[in-house]
Amino acid sequence: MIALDAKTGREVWKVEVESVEQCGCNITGAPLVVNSKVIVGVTGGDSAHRGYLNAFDTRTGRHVWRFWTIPGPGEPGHDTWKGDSWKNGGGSTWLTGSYDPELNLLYWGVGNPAADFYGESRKGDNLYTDSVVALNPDTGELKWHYQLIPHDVWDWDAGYEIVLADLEFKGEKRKVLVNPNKGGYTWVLDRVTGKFLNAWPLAENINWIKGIDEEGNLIGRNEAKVGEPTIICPSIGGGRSWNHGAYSPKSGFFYSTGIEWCQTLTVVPQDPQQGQGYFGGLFTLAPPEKGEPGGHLSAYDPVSGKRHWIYRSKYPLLASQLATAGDLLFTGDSQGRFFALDAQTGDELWSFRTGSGHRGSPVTYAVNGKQYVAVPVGWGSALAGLMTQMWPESADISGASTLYVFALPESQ
Amino acid sequence: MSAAGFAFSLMKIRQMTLARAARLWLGVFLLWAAPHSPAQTPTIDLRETALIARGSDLFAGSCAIGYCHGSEGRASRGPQLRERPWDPRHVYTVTRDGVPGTAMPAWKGILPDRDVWAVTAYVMSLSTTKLQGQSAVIELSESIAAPPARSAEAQLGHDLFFDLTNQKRCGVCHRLGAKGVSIGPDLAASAKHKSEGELLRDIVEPSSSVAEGYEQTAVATNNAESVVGVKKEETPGYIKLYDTSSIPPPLRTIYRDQIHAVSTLERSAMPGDYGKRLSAQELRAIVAYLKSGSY
Repeated sequence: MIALDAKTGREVWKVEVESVEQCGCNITGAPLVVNSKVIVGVTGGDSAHRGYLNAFDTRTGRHVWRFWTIPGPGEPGHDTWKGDSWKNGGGSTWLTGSYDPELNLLYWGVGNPAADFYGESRKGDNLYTDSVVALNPDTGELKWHYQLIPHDVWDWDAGYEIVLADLEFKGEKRKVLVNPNKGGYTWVLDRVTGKFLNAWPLAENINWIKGIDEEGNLIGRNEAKVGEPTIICPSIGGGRSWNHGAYSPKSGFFYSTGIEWCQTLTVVPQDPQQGQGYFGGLFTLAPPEKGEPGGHLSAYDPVSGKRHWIYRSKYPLLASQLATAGDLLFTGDSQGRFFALDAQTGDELWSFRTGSGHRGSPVTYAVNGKQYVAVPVGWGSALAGLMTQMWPESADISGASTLYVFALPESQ
Repeated sequence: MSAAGFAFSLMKIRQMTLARAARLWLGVFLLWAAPHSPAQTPTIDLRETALIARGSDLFAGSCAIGYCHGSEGRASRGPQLRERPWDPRHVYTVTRDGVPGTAMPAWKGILPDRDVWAVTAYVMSLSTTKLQGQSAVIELSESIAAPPARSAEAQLGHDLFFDLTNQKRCGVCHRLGAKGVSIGPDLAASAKHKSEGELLRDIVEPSSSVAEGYEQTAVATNNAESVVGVKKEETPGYIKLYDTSSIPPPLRTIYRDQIHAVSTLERSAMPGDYGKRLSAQELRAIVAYLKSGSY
């Protein structure tokens, strides 16, 4: 974690959160500033590592609190881990959480348990992996938790964005949070209490469960047995990638991408070695059971999951979405097109070839009354590499490191 | 060479004339007697089926997993390895030493040298480069020694030193071998010339003898803040100081225009409570680890 003086660029403090050589982890999520603290997570869910979230004093860099995502001996939830498995159980905090200033609650999505696919040595629910935790940002104290997927053996995480909105549920206005999940479902929770409200699919090919009941229980778990190759949908790449969706208060829609792809998963028993990879399985991508592999972007009712329109793409869409008050939805594709859709209908209104694939997040801002849209461009990353298994030609997508900025015409 | 092959060779030698056999044995003797003779170095053929099969097993469990090179080298976060041209020595070196600054780990010390070659043989079997003749035959290097074994007590000390579930483990401030953070003194150097008793005292009473350069530095700032810790760097423009009141210690940069006063205290920046945090057995184990030299 590094703090710079925003005016001069001078370094103020930096702190080594963990010895990278030892933990098999790094920092991929942006830090989140809440009051006088800066809160930052770590990766490590695919390594033999015990996850946590740290808060540092913004001014001094002094450590303020740590929330372990896996309870230690004597703490509630510790008994959801068999034997010593809690020491190497993953539970990373690799994407940035959200903060509700009115409730003074910090929400963070916790990643998968390790080993990712081999669950025999960590029998139990494995709290707080695959959970949304609500913390007091001043102390790191746990206020409530909701575990989306007990005892995950598919590497699904709960780390994606947590969208806070006040929405109607069964005729009543509720403070909710919307949390899309790598397994292809989106969870909707009451963000005051952590109570389950609904879960709805954003991918068409899902076979790791048959469904989710009205209480939030997973129905018909499809767990691969050790050594028996099993088709699991979606693939480890997820029913969606981590790049965030967008909620528009204007249209009332939640916009999200989805990916149709599966994998042949073979579970392999593995013993943990601290800081080393700890997956407990092998996978090879496979086409979906129905339809073609590919990606899409859709407008959903955020509570019910009702789909209002769908924009299909030959390849997975791996960039974030930006919804504007002018009813535009911006995102980019792997082919290098940055484009805008009509947020109400999904019709494409504009596009621009940027020369490399999109994996980043567009933003919009105004300077002296003029409106701009900026987008970083540059293909790469784990999923881009993984895509070549399904689409060998995607290995030819050129890389880049470019920032494009567009502006509305002066007359507007 | 297999045992059967060796026996066959002996039979062949019996069938030779004595003179030819004498010449051959003389040659063997000369090769044996020559220092660093190449005949001494065992070789392996990267096309051997058994070696490739061993490499395939290792690859599946170590290199293909998760987000790394993908099943049979089809790529993921790590590069695609199959159907690409490779030089076997390059594959071997990268596998053995890793690629610093990337996710590619060094496998030396984890895999024996022969297994690093087995992985290499497997990757070459996936490659568009087809090995022929002598290009497939590798002299096995003996240069990679296995790390020296630790006693059970030293191993416990190592595990405590680097216990990631303990936020106040020694490794937060001390680097040993390839792990930990270099804030406090180099313990490998001090363990060489200090007795067990002295090392134990350093842990439980850190201020009894402070390593040079690791005295506490206190910086008072113009806005009445006091930062106390280990000075890392001082220039005309600023002082960089590890604030050891916090674990992990943040490295503060305090610029001259912010500094009110600087003083040095004859005390160690190390917390003085490790005698209470650790049991006598644990303290002995950490000292045994420091003295083991096996980091």
